[in-house]
Amino acid sequence: MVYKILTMRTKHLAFSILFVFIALIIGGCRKEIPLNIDSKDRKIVVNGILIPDSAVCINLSKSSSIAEKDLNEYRYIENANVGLFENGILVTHLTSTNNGYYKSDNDFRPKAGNFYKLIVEHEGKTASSEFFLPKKELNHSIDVKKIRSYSFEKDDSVVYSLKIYISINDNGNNKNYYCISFGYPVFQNRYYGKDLPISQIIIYNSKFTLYSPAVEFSNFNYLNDDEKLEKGIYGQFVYFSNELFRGQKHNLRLETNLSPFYVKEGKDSATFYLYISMIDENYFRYRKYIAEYDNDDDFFSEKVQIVNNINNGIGLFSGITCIVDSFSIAINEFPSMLIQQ
Amino acid sequence: MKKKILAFLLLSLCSQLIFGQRYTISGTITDASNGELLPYSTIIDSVSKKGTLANYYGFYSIKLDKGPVKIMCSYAGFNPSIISFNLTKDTTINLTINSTTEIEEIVVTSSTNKLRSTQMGLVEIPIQETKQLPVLLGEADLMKTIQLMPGIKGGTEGTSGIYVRGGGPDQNLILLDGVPVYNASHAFGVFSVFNSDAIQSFNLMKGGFPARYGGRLSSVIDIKMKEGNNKEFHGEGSIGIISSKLTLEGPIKKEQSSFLISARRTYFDLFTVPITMAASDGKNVGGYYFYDVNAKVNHKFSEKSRLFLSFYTGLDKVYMREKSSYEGNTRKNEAGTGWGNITTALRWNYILSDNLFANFTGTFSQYKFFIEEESNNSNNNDFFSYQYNSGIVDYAAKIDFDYIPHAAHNIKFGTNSIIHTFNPGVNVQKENGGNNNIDTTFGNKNIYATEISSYIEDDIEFSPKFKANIGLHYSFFSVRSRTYNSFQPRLSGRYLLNNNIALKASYIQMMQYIHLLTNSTIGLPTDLWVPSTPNIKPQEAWQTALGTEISLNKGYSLSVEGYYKEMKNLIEYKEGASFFSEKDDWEGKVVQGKGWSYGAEFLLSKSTGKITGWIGYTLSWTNRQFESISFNKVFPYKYDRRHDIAIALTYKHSETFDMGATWVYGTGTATTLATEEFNGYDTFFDNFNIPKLSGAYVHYYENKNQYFEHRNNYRMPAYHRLDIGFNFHKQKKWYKRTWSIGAYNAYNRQNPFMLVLEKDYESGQNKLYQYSIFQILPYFRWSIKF
Repeated sequence: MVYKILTMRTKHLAFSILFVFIALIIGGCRKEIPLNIDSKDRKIVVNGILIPDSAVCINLSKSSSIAEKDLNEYRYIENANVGLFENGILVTHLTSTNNGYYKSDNDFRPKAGNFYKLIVEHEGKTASSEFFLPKKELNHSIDVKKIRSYSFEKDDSVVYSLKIYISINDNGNNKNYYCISFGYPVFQNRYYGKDLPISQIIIYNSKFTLYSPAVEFSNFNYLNDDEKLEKGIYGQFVYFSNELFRGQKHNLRLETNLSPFYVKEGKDSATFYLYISMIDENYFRYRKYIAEYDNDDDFFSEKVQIVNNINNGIGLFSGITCIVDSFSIAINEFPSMLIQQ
Repeated sequence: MKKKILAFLLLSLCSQLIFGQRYTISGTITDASNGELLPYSTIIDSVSKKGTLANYYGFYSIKLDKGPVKIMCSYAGFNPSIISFNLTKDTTINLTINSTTEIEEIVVTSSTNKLRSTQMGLVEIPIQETKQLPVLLGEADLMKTIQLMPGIKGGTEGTSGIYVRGGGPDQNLILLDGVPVYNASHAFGVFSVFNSDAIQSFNLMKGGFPARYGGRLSSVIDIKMKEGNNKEFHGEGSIGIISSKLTLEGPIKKEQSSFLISARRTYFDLFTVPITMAASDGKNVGGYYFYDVNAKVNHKFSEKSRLFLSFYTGLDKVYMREKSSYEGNTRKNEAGTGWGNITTALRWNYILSDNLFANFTGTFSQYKFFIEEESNNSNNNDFFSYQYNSGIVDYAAKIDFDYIPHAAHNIKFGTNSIIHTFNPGVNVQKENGGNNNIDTTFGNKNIYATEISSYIEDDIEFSPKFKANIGLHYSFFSVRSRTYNSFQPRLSGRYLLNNNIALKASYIQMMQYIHLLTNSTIGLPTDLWVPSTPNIKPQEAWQTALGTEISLNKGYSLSVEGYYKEMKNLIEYKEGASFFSEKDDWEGKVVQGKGWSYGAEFLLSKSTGKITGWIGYTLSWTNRQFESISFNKVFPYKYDRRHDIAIALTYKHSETFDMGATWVYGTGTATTLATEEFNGYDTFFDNFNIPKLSGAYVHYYENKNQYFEHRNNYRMPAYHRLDIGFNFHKQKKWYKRTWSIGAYNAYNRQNPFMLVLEKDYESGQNKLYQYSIFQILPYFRWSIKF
């Protein structure tokens, strides 16, 4: 990784020099020119993620032409007719709350393993989209090892870490898409040090390193001669398909640092959560493009196009089926962890 | 089908035994002034009205009936040579012709050749004409001149990259004395690597390729270096705004062996070094230069045997040196980047008999790109060095035969073998000092590949009106234990409606085993040549064309061609990928897809009189489709320009003054630009069924995303430009002097180089900015020829 960073630095340095001289040769000129874009055609923008057994909430807005003024404004749609269909049957209307949010008028909760279709009608335009909410049929197992090691970077202090071994048995029926995340509850307000009321306790997604022969954070269907090499991915979510292990058992290892501060004062253990999600292909592609879009800071890189699965509109209507595992570590386990240097 | 072709060939061969007694006239055609062999000259017997073309090496052979013959030999830019005699036996005649610059008589032009040839899509421009036309910074440039022809588009402003009939820049086979040149650009493509003073001839084929050419989909640019004057010592040189060049040529042994050496160097760094030093109190030095050297020697062992050795090397280099001192501690830092080609060809021509000619060639070609950085500290011996290298090296051997068994047949066959070594990028880093001691090499491994091809073609004259070129090209490519091969039929035909109008048609299939990994914004020297691999398939194409050549009065000619071309397995960077991205090796950064293009090309040219030149117009469409680009939507190729117009005129007022002007117009190139903004949401989900916490819910975090329908969805403003130049000649006692002055972009049009959308965050409004690079650029050049 260090070499790669140095390589990048030197390549950019060399090209910076090159560009300076080319710029000197050619003497540049910049001027504003008119944008020849029709600024009247605004599309319906849909953002909706369905989760089994959870309340339905989507957001509707309008797109803006790039040539328009006041692009900083959010153009929410508040008076649309929105219908949600389950396997072709209308199950609920969604009604506007505020800021473009629409919620089910009968507290409808989606179920895994069904097709969902959304139809939005607004000012004579109709946008629609549909997807399949993955079934909750994930067959997996986890094993956790706790490691104590020395960190040279932190004044030779002792560092505790977790190695979590995950086995996923892919059903092989379809092209499946997975998401893995790891988290811990935060009991205190980070800024004020006060205990949070239970209703505000949330799970923060921890940063972790994932080792897997089949997962590459920025390129999820990666295939090459070195695919058996383990790769480190540092992030909060990883997304991957079953392309390399379709119908097979797949092993991953996840590592994260551990701190006794995760244990709530007065408690004798800390609880950690592992999320393994099966996601719809549209959402997988959306995340993939978001990741590439966010990394699109190289002038020479090809422009990334955001995924769109809305007919006659823009946005994403998709779903996530998640399974959560949790495990606890007693505070008195920390000193006795395996030592690894 | 193959059996029918073979049977036809055999029948045709037998026909010479049936008809009257015939004899062969053969020999070579040379320039009278310097003894150089002239490629593709025309030989016509005005008695029988039969004719043939000399081959690339100036050899011709024609079978004619016994009796009186009147042989006329012609070549573009030369006066014809006529010889009459009574043919009674096989005869060898080595013909010489004089260039029109020395004798002002009738000028025979290439239009006659084009009319009679089966070749379609052929572009020939006399080298002298390229020197009369105005050019950027006064540097005569073949690659710029051919961009003025219909069907051939230049890339980004000022660059030498060419796009032929909707093909990519890697789909052009650029041959210098038969050796492929992989990067034909200096200074980002502002200049081409071909020094016009060292070039004897060049032609470009954009369709209807004969079977002898292979390995690229869209065009063949065949450039022949001068051989060197074997009669007298001559030279020419020039001094311009940014470069100077000198060419020397002469006999080593009179009329038997000769040499040519030509060198060119820019001196832009002479200006930048003092500027950078002054700006940094003498601590920093930075500069850029390029040079190139062409050299050639040839020896005539006998009238039948000749040996040629040609060599080219060129380099572009950008460098920076930095020195800093602090409390007696001196640190030096040097960084630079460079790229260049080396090509070598050793060729032996041998005339085996009066109707069989052989050519044996061994070639070497290398393109290398590098980045280097080195720093050291005088006090503590800290040392850091880094090098990045990429490129391609070819070794090739080739045998070609020309066999003319009959006046109605001109058969060519041969085979070619290339050993490719691809270096898709290797990093070498050394570091010494502190706790770090690093000496490592990392990056992509070299890839070795073998490419073998064989061909046979016959230029058959079925009747005085109908002629066809029928050929087959076979190629084989082996890489990483995977092999690819293909049979590529080539067909082209000509039908003469009368002496002035020819109808032509062609169909070709092509296969290309190597790819240029380039981004769609600008061609860079970092562009990587990579092979087909087990994962990356070879590019394929087929093309069909229909056209007419019309020879009009007063030296005018009109050419009209329509074409349709389909390409598959084209290569592009994935969305978000570039040369700089390190997350994948090169194979992981690319995707393959298909493309197609079609259009019509019109060329009206005038090649005699005081005013010569041409008007070209192209109406064309070219599109691409990639499964993982723009979600498989069809999108226009970056250089999909609906209309292209080029006018190039030269006016020769007298022996002491001539002038040239060019005007070009092109529909704006396609670029990718967001057209809409919309609320996007980075969905943050948590609390899934966590005990004691509330049920699952979804948070939406708003951000603004940009939307565009597909890649290359927006058109830049149209491009147009006028260049004008004047040449003043004067014959001095020992030499001829020329002053050239002119202007590039004479009416100072600000043509788009790139568009950038910038947001004014206070007003919340986007503004579109156009960047232009070349405004009006005057030039002058002082040249001598002796």
